[in-house]
Amino acid sequence: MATPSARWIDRLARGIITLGGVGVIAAVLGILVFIFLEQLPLWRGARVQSEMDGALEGLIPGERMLLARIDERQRALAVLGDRFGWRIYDLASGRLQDSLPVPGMERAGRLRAAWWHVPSGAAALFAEDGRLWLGQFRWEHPQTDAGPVRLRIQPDSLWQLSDTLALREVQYHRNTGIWVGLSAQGKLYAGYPGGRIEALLVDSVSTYLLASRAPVLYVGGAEGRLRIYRYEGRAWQGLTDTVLTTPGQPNRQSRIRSLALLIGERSLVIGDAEGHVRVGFFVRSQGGAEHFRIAHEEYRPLPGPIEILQSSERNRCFLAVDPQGRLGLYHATSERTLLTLYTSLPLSEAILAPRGDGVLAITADGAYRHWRLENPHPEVSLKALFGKIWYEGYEGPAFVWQSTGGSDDFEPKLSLVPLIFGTLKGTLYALLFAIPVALLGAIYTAQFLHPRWRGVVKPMVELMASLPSVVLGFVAALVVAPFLSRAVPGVLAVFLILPLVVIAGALLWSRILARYPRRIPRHMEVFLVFALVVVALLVSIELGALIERIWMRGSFPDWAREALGLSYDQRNALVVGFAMGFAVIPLIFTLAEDALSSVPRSYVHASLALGATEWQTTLRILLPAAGSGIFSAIMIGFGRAVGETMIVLMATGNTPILDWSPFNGFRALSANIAVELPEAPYQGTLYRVLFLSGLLLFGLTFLVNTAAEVVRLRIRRKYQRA
Amino acid sequence: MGFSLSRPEVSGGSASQKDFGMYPVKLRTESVSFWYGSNQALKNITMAIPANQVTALIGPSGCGKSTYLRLFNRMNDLIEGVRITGRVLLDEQDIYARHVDVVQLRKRVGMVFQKPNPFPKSVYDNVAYGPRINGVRNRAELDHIVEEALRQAALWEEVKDRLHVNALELSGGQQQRLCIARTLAVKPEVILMDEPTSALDPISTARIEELIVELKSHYTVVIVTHNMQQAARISDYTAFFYLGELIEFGATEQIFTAPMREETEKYITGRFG
Repeated sequence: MATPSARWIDRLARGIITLGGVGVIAAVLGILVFIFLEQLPLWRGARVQSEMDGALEGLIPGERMLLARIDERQRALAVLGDRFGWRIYDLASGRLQDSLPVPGMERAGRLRAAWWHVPSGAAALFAEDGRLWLGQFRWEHPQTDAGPVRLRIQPDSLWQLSDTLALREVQYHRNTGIWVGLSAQGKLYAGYPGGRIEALLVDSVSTYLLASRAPVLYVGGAEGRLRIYRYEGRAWQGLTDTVLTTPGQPNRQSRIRSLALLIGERSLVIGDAEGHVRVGFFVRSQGGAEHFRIAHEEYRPLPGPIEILQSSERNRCFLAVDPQGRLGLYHATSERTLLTLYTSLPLSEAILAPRGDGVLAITADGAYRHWRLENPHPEVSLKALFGKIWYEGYEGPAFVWQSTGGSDDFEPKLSLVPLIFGTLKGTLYALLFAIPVALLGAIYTAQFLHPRWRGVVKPMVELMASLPSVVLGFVAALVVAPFLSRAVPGVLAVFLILPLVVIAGALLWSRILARYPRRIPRHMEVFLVFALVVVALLVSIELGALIERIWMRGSFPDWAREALGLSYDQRNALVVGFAMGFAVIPLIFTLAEDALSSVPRSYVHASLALGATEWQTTLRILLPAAGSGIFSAIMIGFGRAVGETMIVLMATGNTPILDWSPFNGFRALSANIAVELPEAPYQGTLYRVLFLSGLLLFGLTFLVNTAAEVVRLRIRRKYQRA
Repeated sequence: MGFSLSRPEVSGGSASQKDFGMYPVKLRTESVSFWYGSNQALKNITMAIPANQVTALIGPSGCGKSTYLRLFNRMNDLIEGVRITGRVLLDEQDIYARHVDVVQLRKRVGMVFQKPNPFPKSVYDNVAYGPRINGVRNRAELDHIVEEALRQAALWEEVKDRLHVNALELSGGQQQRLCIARTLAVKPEVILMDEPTSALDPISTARIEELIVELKSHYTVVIVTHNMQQAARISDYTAFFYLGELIEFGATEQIFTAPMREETEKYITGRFG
């Protein structure tokens, strides 16, 4: 009979233990849920946050709207009509806030053409009296959120064109002062500083675009014809003259209706009369020549012709609009069609907010609809993370991880494939080294080693496990890597020579024992093995050095580069294999040794009593019976290697390349998180992608451990009576 | 060494010279003493065991009878820190001589353990284990050996349709007969049994006892048992061990009906043990 107090203590202990267990499970699950929630927004896509309709006041009847732009905070709308200058509206209320005429264009009559490149500010206006205004418009934001948004107007020059030159469109390259206009007859004219005007010999122009950085002119024509010129040496040099076909239909072309440049002005978006959009850019081939290539055309087409193309100033999103009021929002890199918006309004202008988080559509009579979008991670898609993507300037689709670059217009490359590959590569090399060493060591210790040493060896190997991996990584990077680069052939020779020497030594030893009485006590025999290993190591290193001197002209890295075409990084997968193998060996060794030792001795005795040798007993009884334990030991070692961070961080060059060569580095998922998380903006795309890679790591180890456990239980059930 | 005042003049010495009639001496020990570290387990044992007979070793726990049994297949070698003096002879050959291959010895001297210890493999693989490690690969030959061994062990009829189920699914008695069959498959000359029925129920025990009696026509059987009725039922000769010494050895009938030594009588009548 338990006393009441003992019962109370029992109950209390049970409560505390239960609490602890539940707490551990809750903590693990909590971390998992947190990681999952942090990466979840990546998959949410673009969503309409709010939709608002309004009408602009103060428009003069019959006035035609030429230009409309919104500021990046989506507070103000600037509208340029053909009768008057700019009018600034408050977007929330539609109320007129400010109106400002363009200086120099007073009494010029109706405006015929207007153009404004918002990122550079370059602007061009053309009026019916032949006046051509070139200058700059800039948004001016107040210091506080409350103040009004203003537009600053700065004229550069004013041209007076002759009556015969009636321009329908005009664009202006501010750095060179060159303007290019399209006449009512469909001919292109260029004007140069100093007043020279010339007609460009380009026919069948349907749309054109003058870049703002380099003076490059893109001309779209009928039947998919695209020509690109660059102003160089006082002349327009043709770069490309190509014909674009309809995606999926190689024999069909359609008229190019609109062009836009993505941020950085290296990628061109092309919209055609059939509603298709595509993205192309110049690719430098190996010879150094540049070729224009269409890289992306898998976007969902719009039903009508693409009349308007607008690109974001912050990322690689762009908006395509057809005249029936259908708007498609796309992202160039991820090849995603983010969103399709519909209005029944006949649109005169549609605007993508500079940050890509809003769209405004306006009709000719001033009615507008304003969508605010939630579009935080447009560059992420399943394909962008796990598929081959054709990045800007690349020769073809590739798996690339390069999350940040030197400039704002850098295209983030977020393929997780090189990282997963790196994790697997590091794990593979580590296990390639660790499994044979650990398993053979465990078998030797459990079955052959004298018990006097078993009690020493096991705790010592387990002590190895307590070595911090940062120390291992440090040693690997600063000691092993430089040594290895000087002695690659020798180290590789070890794997061949060591087993040979040990086997030869064992044969010799058994011969000696058969002929002469045993002089060395059994428990000292292990020192003979030691001596053999040391001899084998010395022989291998010397032999390797000899080979290197004679056949490789003294340097393996140079020889490998010249003879095998392999590049040799000092911090490479081989170094990681050794260092991480060293970290994994104690784990596999201990678990495998436990598994082997826990095989009932009665099996071993039965086998020996039947006249089996110790080797036969080991191979046929011990290993199968301990198989499940050994398997789970290897799997747990695998899990450790997959999640290992410090060693791969320090001992590889962290280059995210796809290459199985043991002489190259790699970047593992775990090391990548360590490298990049400090510089990933909170809740930005990179931040969330890193959490996703954490989730992947978790999933990978979870999968491996679960598989290990399932297989282990299945094997154990086979060998044990239920 | 191991000299003891109580050492009987008649027992050990005379038994070694004993004439077993038509049965030649198969196993013999000459003044064997055995130590576990500093602890002497056997004291100067001299004794002979006849071929094709069942010899039972009896005595209270810790008397050294199991240690003595394990001398004959050198299973004691597996224990660290043991020491042996004297000679152990199989067919008059010293099995502790330096040139003797223990592996070959164990093929001639098989052993059945106290607890059934089949391998976690199929019935077939258990029996075929011995032949296989001896290099028998031929399937038909293996089939033949397995069937023969299982028939000899009186197990064939019960398992012939279950040859490929895991041996651990058999009953305890079947497992022990399987272990006997496994030993028989190696075709040994001697079978050592270390309390083979102590973990079994009475019916299984009876079957094993029948089997042991049948086996003696082909094999020399040495059996350690705690169960005096068992020794009386199945053995032809009985040796009584006490505190590491051989107290008395003789024909079973004589030991159980007219023991020469007082200790023997006390033990078999259950007055100590």
